Amino acid sequence: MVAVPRVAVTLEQCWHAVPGGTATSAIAATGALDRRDDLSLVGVSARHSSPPPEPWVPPIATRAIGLPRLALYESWHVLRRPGVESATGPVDVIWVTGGAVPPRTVPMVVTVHDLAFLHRPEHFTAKGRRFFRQALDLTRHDADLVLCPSQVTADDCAAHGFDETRLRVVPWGVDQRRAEPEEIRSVLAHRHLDRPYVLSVGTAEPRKNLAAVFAAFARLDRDDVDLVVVGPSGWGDDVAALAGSVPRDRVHLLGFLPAHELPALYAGAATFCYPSLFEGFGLPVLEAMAQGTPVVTSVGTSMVEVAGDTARLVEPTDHEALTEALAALLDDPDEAQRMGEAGRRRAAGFTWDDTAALMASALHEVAA
Amino acid sequence: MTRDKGSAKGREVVERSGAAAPMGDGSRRGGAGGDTKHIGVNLLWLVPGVVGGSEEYTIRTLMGLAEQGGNDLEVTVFCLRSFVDAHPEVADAFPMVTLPLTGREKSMRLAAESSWLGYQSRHHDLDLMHHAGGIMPPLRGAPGVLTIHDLQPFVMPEHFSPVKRNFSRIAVPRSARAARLVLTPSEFTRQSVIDVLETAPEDVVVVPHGVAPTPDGSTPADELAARYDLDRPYFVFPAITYPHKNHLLLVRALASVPDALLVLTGGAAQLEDEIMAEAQRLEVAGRVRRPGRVPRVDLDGLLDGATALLFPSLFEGFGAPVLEAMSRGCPVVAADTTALPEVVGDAGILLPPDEPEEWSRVMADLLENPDRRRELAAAGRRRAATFTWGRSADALRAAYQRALDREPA
Repeated sequence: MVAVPRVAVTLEQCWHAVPGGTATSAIAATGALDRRDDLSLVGVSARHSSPPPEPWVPPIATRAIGLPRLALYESWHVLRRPGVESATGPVDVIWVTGGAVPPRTVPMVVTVHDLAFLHRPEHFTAKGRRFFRQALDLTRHDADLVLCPSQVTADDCAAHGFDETRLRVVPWGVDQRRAEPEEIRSVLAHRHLDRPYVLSVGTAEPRKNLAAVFAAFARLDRDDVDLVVVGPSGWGDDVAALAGSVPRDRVHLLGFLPAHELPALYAGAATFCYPSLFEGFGLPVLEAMAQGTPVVTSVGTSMVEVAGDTARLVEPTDHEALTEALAALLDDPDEAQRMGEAGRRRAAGFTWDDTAALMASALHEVAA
Repeated sequence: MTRDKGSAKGREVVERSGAAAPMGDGSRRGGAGGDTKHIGVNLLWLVPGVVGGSEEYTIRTLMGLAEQGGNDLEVTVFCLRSFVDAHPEVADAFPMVTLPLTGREKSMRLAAESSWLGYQSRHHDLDLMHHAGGIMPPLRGAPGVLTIHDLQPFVMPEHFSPVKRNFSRIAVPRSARAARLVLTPSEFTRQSVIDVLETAPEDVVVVPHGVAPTPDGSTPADELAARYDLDRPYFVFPAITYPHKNHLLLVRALASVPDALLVLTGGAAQLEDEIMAEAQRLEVAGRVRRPGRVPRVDLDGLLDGATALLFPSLFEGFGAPVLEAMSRGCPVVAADTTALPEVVGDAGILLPPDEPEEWSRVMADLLENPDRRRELAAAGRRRAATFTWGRSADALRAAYQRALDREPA
């Protein structure tokens, strides 16, 4: 048996109240990394009395450091201790998947999802901003390599003083399984969706720009199409209030949905509308592409790297352009089909196994 | 060139995603001490069959290097699996390390140029990495040289999608700044790099194209005549129907040249329908042959039998088809723009690409004047003979040496 590097993986964000994309990606990437046999992984978390709820359970064994989250985060950032080894025993590399940055006791690779808190500080609480600022400064100073899910984020890091030669782009993957026709019928029936619909997803927070989705849908002014919005309530935006201008019977606010319903909901949509103002990657866009659903999303963001030429790109604040893009796809089923197919082909290159292959490269680069 | 000839040659070092260590095998530079320098060549950008003339250029230059032998340089190629399938001759000449992705390679290859290549560069302990496709990721360790084939997205942005345009606008200048040396296939591209990217002139060097000796076995004339319906003298233009290739000019010129055919080979792109519609409108559609992509032996045969190769392209980083036609003794009429004048020199006829009457006049003149055709054929052969791949390889080797000798900034 060849000795392989042992990697401590921070997975505390699985226990966050709204785990979100950083937990989703960390769980999927860790699972894929664990299927490889060139690394051995051990998870690290704060002290908890129970595992997180079902979709957020880490895919690898996790060792707890004996402090509750806030104390651990504060201790890591301010005191720069305790080392992860106090829970994991000796390791060769630390991979920080998000959240707080432990002390660099061995070579450390840190994932930086986005620098949204710098660009859109109004979308964050003061406490959140302070925390992200600390994490960013520590990452800039201590990380041997920084993994970014998109070139946009890597460029952003470089613009904020990171050493360019330590930045590595590792895109996220997507589950390649396409929803079956029977599955689509069943989920749509369960959710009472019996007409064509435009789909949007995302936590209800200002950055996701759901206001534009509702505004564009209202402007569409069509009585043959519904609007479906999926996602947990976050903060700052009241989804129901945003929907105010749109007739009640035409909007389906589905809230948080179990993950297994999502593929069918994507696959059943006429178009997917995602005018987010800022993303580190844009996983929902890739999820829609993987189901062959044509996408309308924001120009000048990481979504462009995900979708390439396969999506309609608009200025997310231009409600008229958004409306036109949606109308163009709804009015031209052939074009919608062509775009959906192109998106699906492109999505076929974003597998979690390949994400893990690129991540493993970075972990081995610092372990060497 | 390669380590210990024989054992290193022809070996493909495949890095499997499930391997116990991602190291492939012992391709780490072991005993390559002394003055042997280890060069990595990044070909992750090279998706076979879709990148155009830069594919042939890159491969032939590398093969020229392999044929020269010598043991001052040790070259390892980093590429896509599909590249190894498409170019077994390269895999035979150099150790190849292929990107171990399981999904469709195209989607993540750009990202792999930072993460996967970063590890490879360190693991193979490279002295230099040659990024041969216009983009260079910032990596630790090995300094880089960069080949820029052309700057068309900067000069003719309207011919590119906004996505491609924006990407180039950011990535290309950054790459040029990070490189120790920028290599270009022509003096024209070299000047563009100096003018547009403001790279210091001494940091930009030409590694010229070559042309292979005329291969035997082109398709015989009678077979071609039957296959492509060639019942009259004909002109050839081999080019994908991109807007900048300027097919419309030839269709318009053909209208004033009765009794000649225009053979348009090459794949279909944006302007395909418009070109055929223009031919209909000018009532020359019956004299335009549009076979699409043809086998190499057919194209060689077509060049052998053509009255001339017409090449009205508005933009070429080099213009390899022109050189190939010259090497086969096919008279060349080309646009007097971009890199074409430096390739054609005085061995062909150069015309403004926006004056169809001029092209009509020259086409008619060549049809009537066999002496002029013979003269151009001979001049073309003489000139083409100076473009050898050995010369390209010499220039590449010298560029590597210069980059290696240079102290980091």
